[in-house]
Amino acid sequence: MIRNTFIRKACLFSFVVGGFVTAGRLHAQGETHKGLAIEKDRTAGYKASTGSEAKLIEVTDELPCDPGSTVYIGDIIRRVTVLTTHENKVRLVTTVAYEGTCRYSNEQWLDILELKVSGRPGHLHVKCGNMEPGEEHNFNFQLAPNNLFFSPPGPPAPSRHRTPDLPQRKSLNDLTPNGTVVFDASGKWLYKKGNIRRNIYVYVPIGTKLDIESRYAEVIVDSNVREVNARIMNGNLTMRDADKLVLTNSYGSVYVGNIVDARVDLIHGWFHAKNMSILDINSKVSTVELGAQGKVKMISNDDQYEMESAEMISGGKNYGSLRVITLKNSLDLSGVSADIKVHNIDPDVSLVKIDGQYADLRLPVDNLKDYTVYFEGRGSNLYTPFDRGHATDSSFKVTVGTGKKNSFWLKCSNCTLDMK
Amino acid sequence: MDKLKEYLLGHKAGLDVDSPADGAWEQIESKMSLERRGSASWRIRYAVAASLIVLSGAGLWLVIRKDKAPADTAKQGSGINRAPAPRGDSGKAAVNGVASAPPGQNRDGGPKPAGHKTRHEKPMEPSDAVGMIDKSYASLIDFQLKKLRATPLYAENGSYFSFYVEQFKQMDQDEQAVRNDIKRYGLTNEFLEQLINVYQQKLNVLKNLETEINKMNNKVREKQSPRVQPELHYLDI
Repeated sequence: MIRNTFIRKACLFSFVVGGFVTAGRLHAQGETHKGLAIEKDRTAGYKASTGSEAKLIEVTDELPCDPGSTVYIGDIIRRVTVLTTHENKVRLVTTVAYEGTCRYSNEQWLDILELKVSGRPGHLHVKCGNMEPGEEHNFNFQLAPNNLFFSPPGPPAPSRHRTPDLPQRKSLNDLTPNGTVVFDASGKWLYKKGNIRRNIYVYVPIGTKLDIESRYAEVIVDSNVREVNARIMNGNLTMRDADKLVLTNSYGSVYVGNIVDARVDLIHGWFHAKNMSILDINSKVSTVELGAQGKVKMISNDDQYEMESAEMISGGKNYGSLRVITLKNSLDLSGVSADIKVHNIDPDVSLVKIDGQYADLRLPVDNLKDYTVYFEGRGSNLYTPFDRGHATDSSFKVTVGTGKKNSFWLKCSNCTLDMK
Repeated sequence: MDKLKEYLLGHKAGLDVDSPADGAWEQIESKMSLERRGSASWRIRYAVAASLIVLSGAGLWLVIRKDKAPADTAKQGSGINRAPAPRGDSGKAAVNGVASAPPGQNRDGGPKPAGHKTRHEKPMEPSDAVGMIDKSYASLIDFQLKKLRATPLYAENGSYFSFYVEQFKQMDQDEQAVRNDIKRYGLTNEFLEQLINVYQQKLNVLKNLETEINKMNNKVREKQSPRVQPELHYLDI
């Protein structure tokens, strides 16, 4: 009996000891894997390895500015919001996120973030990112080697502006994620954090003229302004009402409010505007959505236009389409292969003149009683609510009512004309 | 009758009622229980031996694993990399379940280690992502270009659509501009999105061109007599 009890106890002891040993090993192994995971994150460079929380402080810069001044805002990649203020100064406000003990002054942070308000009275410069005032970007780039990402980094491009130092743990081959940069105590780029959103606010006096140059960035003009001159490349611009807008936009999206006078150049862009009194637009391969328009002068190539209403439309339109819900005064366009559709022709419209080919035209005359139609064009399909009388294969002239109120001068070969 | 027979017949009653002696069954039972107890103790011994063997085996296996794991951890964590293996070893490494390092350098600028255990999937390199985007869009664009080149123009020659050809060339330069910016500022999501946008716009331009060609061809062909053989043109794009 004693021997049996001893064996049982020995067995139990060995199991217990074995279990502890195994559990200990497994625990140790788990720690090792955890360590690997931490190392993996650290290698990735985007996650805090220490787990310490980022702190936020406000950074500002400002200069006195008269209300009638021009304020230049140069922005690359950053998100900038412009607001008007009753104070006679330009003020830049943003936040910076950091870990550890902050040893930097406001000015030093501004330098690190490449933010600055400078200039002379009447013409101030706000730098948001590595693009200083007056820097012109040549669109005719020289071709570079195709193997861009594996080519050794060469000397910096000859430029009078400093290329920012590559942040810590970042090389040309790294894809930085979205988010706001968090710095360490020594001002180095530590990582990016997605749940922190850094906005750069620029306050300008009411009545200021804005001169904006933006690349790969989002600019929001969140107040009504007097005048905006903007060059947007590969970015977005959202703005409220303005008296005057001069816009150049390539590969970008632009939303604007009500504008009195607008001059717009678009290339591969998207332009949405509310009501404008005068619009002079030159566009290529773009989409344009407009509210109620006064006088529109366009040079368009392969664009899609939509307008709620327009008083006068004139210019050239090649390819693409133009759709107007209500035409109020006149339309005079020439070009090739441009589909033009007007849903409602107001009785006050004096002239509709189109010179084109290979186009679909829709010009309903339901609302009209006294109009004249001159049509010329071979190989067209015609759908009219009136009898064309002695029409030949290529032309006709028809007068309905007195024929004096509205005139249609249409020259279009191989077109489809629908006036029903 | 012999004497034995006589004896048996004389003691017949005594022979039939013969019973075991007192304590005989207890003695037998005690012997049997001793044998049973002896066999049970052997089973326990076998079980203990087997469990000890299993435990010692598990302990030995964990010790071996522990000895390996810190080596890998140290290798990855300390940044100390092995010397790059000669090219000839790459195939051998692959056979042994060790992933060969991609071309290029690591973050520290040093050469990549010859290989490491593939315990987790390696995240895709950004340059790979750009390469994949290039490759997929390039094949789409090539497909669209081939289609357009093979589409006959029934009414106009290629110069009628010269705008699209010029625009397409211009977009090559725009694409290169984005690449130059990536080179200058580093690769960010904004640049990557823009690169995709340029490719998308290229496809849009080609799609628009196709639409315009089809529109023109349809308008001309529906009016043409089937007996008339139209002069065909092709696009040089």
